[in-house]
Parts: sequence; C-alpha cells; structure tokens
Amino acid sequence: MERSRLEALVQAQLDDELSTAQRAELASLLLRDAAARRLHDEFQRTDRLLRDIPVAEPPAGLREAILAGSARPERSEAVPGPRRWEFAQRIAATVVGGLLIVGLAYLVADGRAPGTALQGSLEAGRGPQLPGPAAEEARASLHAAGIAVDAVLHRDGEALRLELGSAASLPVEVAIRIDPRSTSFAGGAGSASLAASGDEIVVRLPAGRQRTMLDLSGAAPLQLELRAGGRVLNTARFALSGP
Amino acid sequence: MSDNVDAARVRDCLAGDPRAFEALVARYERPVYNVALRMLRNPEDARDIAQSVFMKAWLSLSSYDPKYKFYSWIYRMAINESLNILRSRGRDGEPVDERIPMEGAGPADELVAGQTREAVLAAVGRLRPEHRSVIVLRYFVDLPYEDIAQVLELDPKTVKSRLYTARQVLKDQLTGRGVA
Repeated sequence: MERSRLEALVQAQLDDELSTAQRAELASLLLRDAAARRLHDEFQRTDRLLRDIPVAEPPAGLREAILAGSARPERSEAVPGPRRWEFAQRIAATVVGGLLIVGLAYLVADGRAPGTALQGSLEAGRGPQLPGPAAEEARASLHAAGIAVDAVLHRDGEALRLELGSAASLPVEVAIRIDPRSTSFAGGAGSASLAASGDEIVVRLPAGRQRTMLDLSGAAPLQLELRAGGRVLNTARFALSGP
Repeated sequence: MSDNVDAARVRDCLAGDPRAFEALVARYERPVYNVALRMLRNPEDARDIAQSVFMKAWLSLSSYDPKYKFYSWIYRMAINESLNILRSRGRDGEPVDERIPMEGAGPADELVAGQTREAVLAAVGRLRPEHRSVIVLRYFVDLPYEDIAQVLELDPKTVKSRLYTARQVLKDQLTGRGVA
C-alpha cells in the first residue's frame, strides 16, 4: 500500500472529508497494517495537540488601547490650560534669544552674512513674545487609534502660536481652519510640511514623533481636523477670547 | 448571518455610528490577537499588531468590499502584518516563552501539559511562514479551507496542499521529540 495514499486518507479524515468508500478503505488499511495504524495515530495525536491549544486572552486594556480616544470622529472643545508653561516659555525665549544674539554677533564679526540655514534656525528657535497680562494658552488633544496629536495654542495680543506634537504610526495631516478675514498665516517651522491656502493650513506630519510650530496673526477661533487616509478622524476647536 | 451583521456594522460605522466599530473590535479583538500571537509567539508583538490592524481597518473601511467576509479581510491584515515582522527579523522572528495557564490540573500534570503545549507551539513556530499561516488559521481561528483561501488569497487546493505539508512536518517534529 502506498504511504502517500494512506496519508491522504488520514488527512482527509482529520478534515472530516472522507467519503463512505474512503472511510471503508481507510478502516481496511488500518485493520491489516500495523505501520498504517502507527502513522494514523501519530497524525491523530498531532491534530489533537493542536486543537488542545487554548485560545489566548488578549491582554487587559487592548480593546481600550484600540479605541483609545475613540477611533471615530468626535468633537472635543479645547479648554484653556494651566499657565505652567508660560514660565518655561519665558526662560526658553530668553535663552534662545541670547544664543541668537551671540551667534549673529559672531557671524557679523566674521564678515559673513547670515545664510538660509541661520534664518531657518532663527525661525525655528524664535520664542513667542513675552506674554503680557492678556496672554492666554489653550490645549487640545486629537486622538484616534494609534495616533495622538497634542495641540497648544498661545495667544499674545494678535500673535498666535500653535504648537503641534504628534506620535503616530502612519503619516497624518492636521488641517487648521481659520477665518481669513480675521486671521492670517505667518509661517511655520518644524518637521512637517505645510500647505496654506485661503482658509486652511494643512500640516503633514510624518509617522513617528514630530513637533511643529505655526505662527498666525489675528484672532481665534481655530478649527483643527485630524486626518489620515483621506478621512477626518477627530476635530477640535480653539476658542480663546480675542485680544 | 454573522457576515451580514458585520457588513451592517461596517455600513453603520461609515455612516458615523461610533458603536459599530466598537462592536467589530469586541468581536474580532480576540481572534486577531490570537492570529498574531500564534504567528509570532510574542505577546507584545501580537498586541501591537492587533492595534495596528484595527487602526488600518478603520482607516480603510470605505474600501472594504462587503462581498467578502469581514473577518477574511481583517485576518488577512493580521497575517500580512505578522509576515512583515517575520521578514524584518529573519526567518523565525524572536519567539518568546509563552506560558499558558491551566485549570483543573495538579502541579505535575500542569507542568507536563504546559511543556507539551510549549513544544507544540514551538514546533508551529519553526514552520515556514506559509505553512504556519494555514495552521494558525485552521487550528487557532478555526477557519474552513475556503475561508483560509480567501484570507491568504490562494486557491483552496493550494491551502489544502500547504496544510497537508504542515501537518506532516509537525507530526515528524513532535513524534521525533516524543511529544506526539
């Protein structure tokens, strides 16, 4: 008897696909051949061992992690945040400003004009104006499964600075909708690419951890939309009081 | 019936019903996690893959074709993500010790049963990825040939052939180690 024929019959038996005739054929083979019985038993035991492996329970919190912040479009109103960053901003602005002055002085003394790279770093490192009494700050979080974008809006008079920090496993976009009659886009710096047109500034954030700043002039409110794969995942609205 | 339920949930989700996606996650969280766990033998990787699969599923729900079973679509993503990890790490990945708790057995029985299961899972983990995929879908998610074929985008005859080979390899490994 061919071993391959026996194996085919045993495998068909494991999948419950034996015809009546094949069942009789297998029974006959097993009756008269000890080697066939041994092979049959080995396949049966292997099949049973595989079936006995229990279903593993997903770790606690997996579902919540999947739905973290909800993978569905949902509105969240930004609320004014604590003022604890203001002190850090003042320090950072002072330090960055001081370094830039020293750097500029060095370059001027060296007889070279500041180049594009320096202008870029000036842009990226420029701190917000020291906030006066009317300065405000608001925060919002835009979440979807595997994506987290934190937004902080600083306002000092008509100067608005929006900081976006993202952690995402795929490229995402944050669209900032403004009212062009009252607000204008002044520029941005960071790891994202920007596209501004009319009432919308689109920030394309690569996957991974990214940080980007945008400077605007005018008045809130600003509407933020988190997008990925051509879909809006979440929205938030900044509604700081006007200057 | 369940296919219709899934298709309706996808429609509801696309229409903006937030509970529809939660229901799909509740239904398929466990099998998706198990597919990834049995493919990779690493609970952390399986967790990451489950998260990633559901995120991608949600993002591309509008491209889901309801003429196919929803679970075929989502299991395919889980298998493909697992295969990507296996490819990125070399042939076998980095299987970790995965202890399976048992109920109703004494310490000695538990030890033996645990060792046996560990040996079986290790043998599955040594299979070539294409054979491992069919074993995982057949035994750990309990799919019939036709559904495995749909998940893996293969002809059912190819699935049958791979399952045949995988069982032979497993039998030889387990009998060779005195497990089966």
